[in-house]
Amino acid sequence: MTLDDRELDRRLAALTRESAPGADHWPTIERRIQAPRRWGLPVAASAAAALVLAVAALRVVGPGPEPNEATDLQAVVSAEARAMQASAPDETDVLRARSPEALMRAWSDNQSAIEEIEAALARDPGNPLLLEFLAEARLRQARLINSSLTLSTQARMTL
Amino acid sequence: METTATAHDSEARVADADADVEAAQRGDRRAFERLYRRHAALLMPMLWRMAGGDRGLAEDWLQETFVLAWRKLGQLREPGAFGGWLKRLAVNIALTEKRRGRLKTVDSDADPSAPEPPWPAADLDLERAIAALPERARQVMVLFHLSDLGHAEIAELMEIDPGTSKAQLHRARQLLKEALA
Repeated sequence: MTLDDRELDRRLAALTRESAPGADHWPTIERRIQAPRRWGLPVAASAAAALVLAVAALRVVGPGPEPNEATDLQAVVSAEARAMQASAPDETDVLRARSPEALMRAWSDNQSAIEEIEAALARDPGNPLLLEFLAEARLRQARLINSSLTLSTQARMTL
Repeated sequence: METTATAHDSEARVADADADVEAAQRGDRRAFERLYRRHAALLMPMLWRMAGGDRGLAEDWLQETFVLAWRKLGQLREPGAFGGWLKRLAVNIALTEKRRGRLKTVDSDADPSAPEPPWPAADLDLERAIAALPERARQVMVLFHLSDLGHAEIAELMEIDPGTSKAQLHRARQLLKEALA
């Protein structure tokens, strides 16, 4: 005679699903991850994220700030964007992408940034900061295309 | 009122967790440590059972999981998906190590024929019966019943057919029912 299915299910459901490890493994894990993070893929993504962040900051203020507010906000957002981009290494290192997958992800992130900026421009046409960001995103788009062409001469790739 | 407060606390915890993921993605090791402390306990029982009760092996896998997670964190697009993503990393590590035929670590205090889980086990007989299952059956059992993965996902992770996953689960259940009768 075997155990009933329902009884087995009941006992399985009652088993522990959460229990801290006996030892604290964090010190060992921390030692192993001490090597500096390689920025590889996400640089283009982080630069695109900087654009999205700046656009989001503009949204918070609203569609039509007063000239003085616009100037102050522009200075703050520009500084923020420069700081975020400065925290990443030379973007061209990433745009000399190692893999089609990395390029695809960078392209996707940049496209998201472009869509955000264009949506913001629809609400605030002619905003000089948004136009500047859009120009940078388009330039990044062109670089990504160039990188994909370079990559395709080494290995087949379709974007 | 209590329900509202509980929901608010829950939302705040989720927001904190997502913020830690995003901070860790920017290289914040303290944030990653908080993620370790939050998620290690959720992985340990699964890994211990997948290791057939070998605690040392399970803890090795746990370390490998977090080291790999740190390296791959940039690939995670949705901070809210960190828990599920981490679980998949852990399962992949456990399955890959097994496929490579990694030798078990020597846990001198353990009796391999009667493993004892590193937590107060309310159902020691069931834990030992699971640990004694044939390897593939045990893996499917643990992933399906104790890690809430479906057969499609298990099949993908184990590189088997979903039908095979179901068959292994059925086999595991039959063996457990016989062992616990």
